Amino acid sequence: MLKRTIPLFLIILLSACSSFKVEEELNAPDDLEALRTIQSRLFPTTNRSALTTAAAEALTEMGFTIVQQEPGLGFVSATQQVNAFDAGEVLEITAVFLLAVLTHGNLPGGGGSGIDDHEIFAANVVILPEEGKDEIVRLTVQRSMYNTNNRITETEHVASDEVYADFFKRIQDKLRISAVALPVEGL
Amino acid sequence: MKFLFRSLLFLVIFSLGYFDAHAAEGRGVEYEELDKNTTMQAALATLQEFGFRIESVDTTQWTVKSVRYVEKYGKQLAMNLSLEQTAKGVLVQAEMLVNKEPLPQYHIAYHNFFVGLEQFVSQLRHSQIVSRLRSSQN
Repeated sequence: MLKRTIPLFLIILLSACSSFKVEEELNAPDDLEALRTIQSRLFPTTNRSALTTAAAEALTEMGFTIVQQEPGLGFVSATQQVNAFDAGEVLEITAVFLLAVLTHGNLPGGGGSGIDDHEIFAANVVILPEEGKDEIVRLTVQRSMYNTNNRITETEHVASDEVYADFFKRIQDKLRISAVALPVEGL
Repeated sequence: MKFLFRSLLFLVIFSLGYFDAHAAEGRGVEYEELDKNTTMQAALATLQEFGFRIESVDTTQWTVKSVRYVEKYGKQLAMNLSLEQTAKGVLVQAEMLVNKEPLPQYHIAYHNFFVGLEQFVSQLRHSQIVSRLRSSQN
């Protein structure tokens, strides 16, 4: 009896560990502190409206299209679409499909998996007051790959320092003020 | 066998107690002495912190729509917020959906979200107090 129960208990425990839990998705990831630091700058101004406008202009210069701009809130939303169609990938998938048809007589995966078609970079800027004399600007950029069926095949947070550094430099140049990088435990 | 049974029983009791303790908040929390604008700023910062992509902000209806993809499990999380002015302050109500299916009202994920929101609310409250002190000194 015990021999049967223990493996069953272990299987239940292991399946519980690997299952999707929404609450765990709302826990901060381990690398969040470092990512937050490169995504944020402190600007010595209380002019949130000017910062919001400068942020929107900087994103436009970087190739983004502004979706929404709320100067009162200090919020900007923007997207950028990039063509991701790869002829090599099309040839590769076609070869796999043909091979599957020849060997098994049917298509792998029901033939609905699709080919990478385009990627969308989505940017959010949120500006918060700090100590009543500064404003903290935070930019987050997410990349989502869409296939020819317009389904997301992969998504990630852009962690490249260069993108964020470029954005903050543009704001500094526009407002002619120097931003301060926040320490890791700064927020 | 007895040990195994007791361990299982302990786990069940512990889990029930844990979820019950965190279930009180549900999907709405009221923030006293705050205006909608400040609460909305805190809400946007919280969504950004949790990795949500903010899709739209409506400052007429005071609602926010945001989404997050969990690639590992192929799931889409959506978080919709609405802000309502009350006599004491602002009531923030959240609705969370996993693959377009709403989560139960007392799911612990709501508690986690409101804990995050509380941190930004505190930060903004602090900033407001410092700002008032500065202007009164000047």
